[in-house]
Amino acid sequence: MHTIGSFCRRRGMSAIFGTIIFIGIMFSAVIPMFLVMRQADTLYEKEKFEVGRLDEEKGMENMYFYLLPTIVEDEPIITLKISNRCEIAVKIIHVWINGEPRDVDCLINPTSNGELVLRELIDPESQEPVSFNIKVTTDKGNIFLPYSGTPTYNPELGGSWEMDYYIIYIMMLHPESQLHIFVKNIDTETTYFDYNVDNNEPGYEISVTEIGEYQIIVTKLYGKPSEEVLTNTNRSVGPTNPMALVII
Amino acid sequence: MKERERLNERRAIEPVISAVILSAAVLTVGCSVWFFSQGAMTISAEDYAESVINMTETISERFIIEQVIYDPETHTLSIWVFNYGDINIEVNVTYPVNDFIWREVSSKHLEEISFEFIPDSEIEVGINVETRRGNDAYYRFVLPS
Repeated sequence: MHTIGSFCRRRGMSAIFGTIIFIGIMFSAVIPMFLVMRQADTLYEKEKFEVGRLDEEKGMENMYFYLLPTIVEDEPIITLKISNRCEIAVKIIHVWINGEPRDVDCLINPTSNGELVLRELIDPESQEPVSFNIKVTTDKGNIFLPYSGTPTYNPELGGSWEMDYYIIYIMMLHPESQLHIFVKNIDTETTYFDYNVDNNEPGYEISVTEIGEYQIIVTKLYGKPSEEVLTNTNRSVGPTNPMALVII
Repeated sequence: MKERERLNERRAIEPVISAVILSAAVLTVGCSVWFFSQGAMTISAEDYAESVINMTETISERFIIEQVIYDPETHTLSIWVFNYGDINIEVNVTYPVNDFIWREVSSKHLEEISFEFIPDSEIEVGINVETRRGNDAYYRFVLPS
């Protein structure tokens, strides 16, 4: 009887085997599959978040720059005066000069100014006037154009920048809404600009026709303290430096 | 009495054999199902992971047409594609000329694509560049007069 009883109890073995196999399938096939799928989903969500952040940062990028052409030791040079007006650092990686790319590495910190000097702009053998179309590209894929047009360099007669008029730029890192700008030629006592300006432009461009030194006074009209003089400075313009910049 | 016990013992062989057969059948079928499901689920998981990775790469592609220049003397249209994303891409110009040549643009690199192009009478040309994963970039270019 003892033998029969033990064999009878073995009838449950198949149920046990079935349960073991079911658990085995769960742990060796189903659960790893779900884990792999969850891992892939996690990677996807992570990447989606990262590209979303990159797009957001790309949209936030906001900078402007002026071209300041000068002549140093008979060589034409263009200095890019750059103002980063956003809360993230902007990295310039390409500068395009007349359709030709140059690799650069220029990092401008948030709400700061920076500059980039471009040399070897012309073929020394050439005597033809050259206009410079310049734009810059950031590492996040934004392209920015200068606020200050296209300077032209004429190598004849020792070389000079060809300008119909000279320009004084007033670049504002933190634009104010109520300003008074005064620009006067010190040599001839001619006043070129004496007006209140009422907008939030990042910069002002004042055209002058005479060579010489200019006095520039920018006053903040309202706010505390009222009528605060933001700058009172002098700048020179002429054929070798046709554009002057005042940064506030 | 002894004969009867022996007969009883012989009768006990039948449930043993049936239990062994049932267990063997359960083991055979169970193992088959186990291996089959393991293989099927491995394939399913790999397919799913691959499709998600492909989708991830598709949404990760970031590129622009950074510059376009047309030389009217040589009738050459040059397009610079800048890949500012984190993965390499393959691009093909689909408009105005589709040459069906895929060019690789590495991550953070600028690639020039030049080809012959004779414009009809348009003053503007729309340029379209697409990647192998199906993203595209558009640029409107004014031809030099």
